Amino acid sequence: MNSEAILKIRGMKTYFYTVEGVVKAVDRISLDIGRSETFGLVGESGCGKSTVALSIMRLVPNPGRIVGGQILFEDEDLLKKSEEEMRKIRGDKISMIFQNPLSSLNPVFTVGSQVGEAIQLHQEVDRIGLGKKVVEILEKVRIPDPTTVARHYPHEYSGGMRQRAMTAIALSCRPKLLIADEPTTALDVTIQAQILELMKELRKELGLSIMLITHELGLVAELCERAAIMYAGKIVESGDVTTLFKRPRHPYTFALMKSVPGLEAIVKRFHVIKGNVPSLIDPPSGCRFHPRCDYAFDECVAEEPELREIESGHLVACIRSEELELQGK
Amino acid sequence: MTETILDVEGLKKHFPIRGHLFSKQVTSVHAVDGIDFFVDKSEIFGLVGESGCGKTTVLRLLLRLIEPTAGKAIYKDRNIFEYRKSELREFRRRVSMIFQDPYSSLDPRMTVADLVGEPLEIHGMAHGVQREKRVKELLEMVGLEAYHIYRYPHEFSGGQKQRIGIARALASDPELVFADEPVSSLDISIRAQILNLMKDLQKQFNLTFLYVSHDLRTVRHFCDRAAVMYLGQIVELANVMELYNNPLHPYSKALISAIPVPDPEKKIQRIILSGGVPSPVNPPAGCRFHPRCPYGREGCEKKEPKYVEAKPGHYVSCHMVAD
Repeated sequence: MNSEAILKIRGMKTYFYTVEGVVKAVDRISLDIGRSETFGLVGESGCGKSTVALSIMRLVPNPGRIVGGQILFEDEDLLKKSEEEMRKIRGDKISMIFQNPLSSLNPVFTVGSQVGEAIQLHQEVDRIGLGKKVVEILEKVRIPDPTTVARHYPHEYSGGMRQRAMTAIALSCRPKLLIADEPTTALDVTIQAQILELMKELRKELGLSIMLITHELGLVAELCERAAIMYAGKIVESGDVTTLFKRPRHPYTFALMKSVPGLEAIVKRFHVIKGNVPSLIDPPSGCRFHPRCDYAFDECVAEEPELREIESGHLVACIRSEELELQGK
Repeated sequence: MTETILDVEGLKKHFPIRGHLFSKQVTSVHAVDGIDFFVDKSEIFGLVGESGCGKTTVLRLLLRLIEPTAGKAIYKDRNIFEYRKSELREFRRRVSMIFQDPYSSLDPRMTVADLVGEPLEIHGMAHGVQREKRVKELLEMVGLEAYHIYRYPHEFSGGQKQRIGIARALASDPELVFADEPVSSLDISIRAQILNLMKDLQKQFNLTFLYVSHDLRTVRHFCDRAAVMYLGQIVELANVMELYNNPLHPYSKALISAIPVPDPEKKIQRIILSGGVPSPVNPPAGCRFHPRCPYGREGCEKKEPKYVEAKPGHYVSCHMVAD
């Protein structure tokens, strides 16, 4: 694996202590993100992928708590930092873009002032210098006529422009790691394509490391170098994208890929994963996927599979991964 | 010979915009601006487009929830916009709707028995014990259990809720079902279940579907024919094979090329459109797509293109194709 990892997560556990019981949203996960690498974290809603992002930022809302593990960012454990130190890191070295840009931008401030706020928090600049920087960064995210548009309010922006503005705020201090949580889900298809293109260009220009959180496998295939698939709070498979798509070794990854039909041949029936996403308060015993798995047998119910390396850089948590014949795309 | 069940001609809906509460109408939103299409019996017809293109307004018009500005919709030799009250009630029994968001379209204070049984009650189709029997039948039909009948919506998962929504839509024994983004709020693994269910029911009861979606991928595999909408107009209409393999309108081309392909080794030639969808209050003159069109040329901004049949069954409105 990448020796020059910018972010290393080791055995992280984030639990929510609710009245109904303890929700194990993230249960002992480990992953590495390399420098200038785009890493995809894939899963359905409720699998814990957004909780991973919030844990890295140390922004897990109550009643959630990070109860174990390490989050090493540039070899320093973020879990040992004080709140003061964390504030200096957020938005400066690690920043985040969210799914719905309208609800993440403040409606009563101009976009320019919101971009400026992020810069002011982390850098010493005078007013004229700040104005210049704001325009510069808006230009960077390809917002046309940035000097005028900086004085506009979020409601005057279209969906795609708002997401560009969000990206501008996130990139304003030249972060090393950008966490993008479903950045295109709320956008229309043609606007999605624009934002995707922007992210590709910025990654090249700025040498960013990106953690892309999504349920859209197409995005992962297109944008990421490596990816991890999450299911019910656990990583079930990770590896480089080509391996994952061509030779998936976990039945869930395989099923997920099958349920997204391609554009070539028309399928008569959609491939179905039976059952529902399990509750994280009382997850199934053994392998958490076993009630929905087509290949499960007795041992899957009894024994929890460990994530193990079956070939260089390709990790799978399934006891039957070697014997199964799963055909990739 | 296939029978046309619904024939829409020149359908328009303009929503008035007033300056302030009591002032005269200033201008209007051209939500649906002259569309023509027909739906054959037992087919699944798709209506695709980005948000704000008017696809949901079309459904609301066809259910007579709002009145059109102009146009006709012929259902079985009668224009639905000229229906009398009694006819409208019968029409709404034969036509039903599956909604986008199962979380907000089911009343949280009603049990499944009431939710699914309500259409039966309204149309006087079944009461009391009979109604209960029918509801149980409907639940089993959509893959739920008979014992679910006295539960409330919050006791179900998203996919199960959408099954209840489908059971309710089918309760009045409809012929034509409108489905407005029925799977877009569901997870990928659940989406496939619901789409398969709808397809099975369509075959079993010989239903006709009008499926509205922004998801081009499901339309491709779920529908027989589809129409692409842009700013209140249909820009292209064809059977899905033809539409996806051989799109003629630049907007359809861009939409199809924008679909992310889950294959890391495939390089996609993507057409990136500049800007966003213009406001339907003042739609661009001439061809409405011209400000974003990568192939736009002189004249596009002046003359509105005609909606022509370029190939048998393949309709398109673009100057480049018409010439």
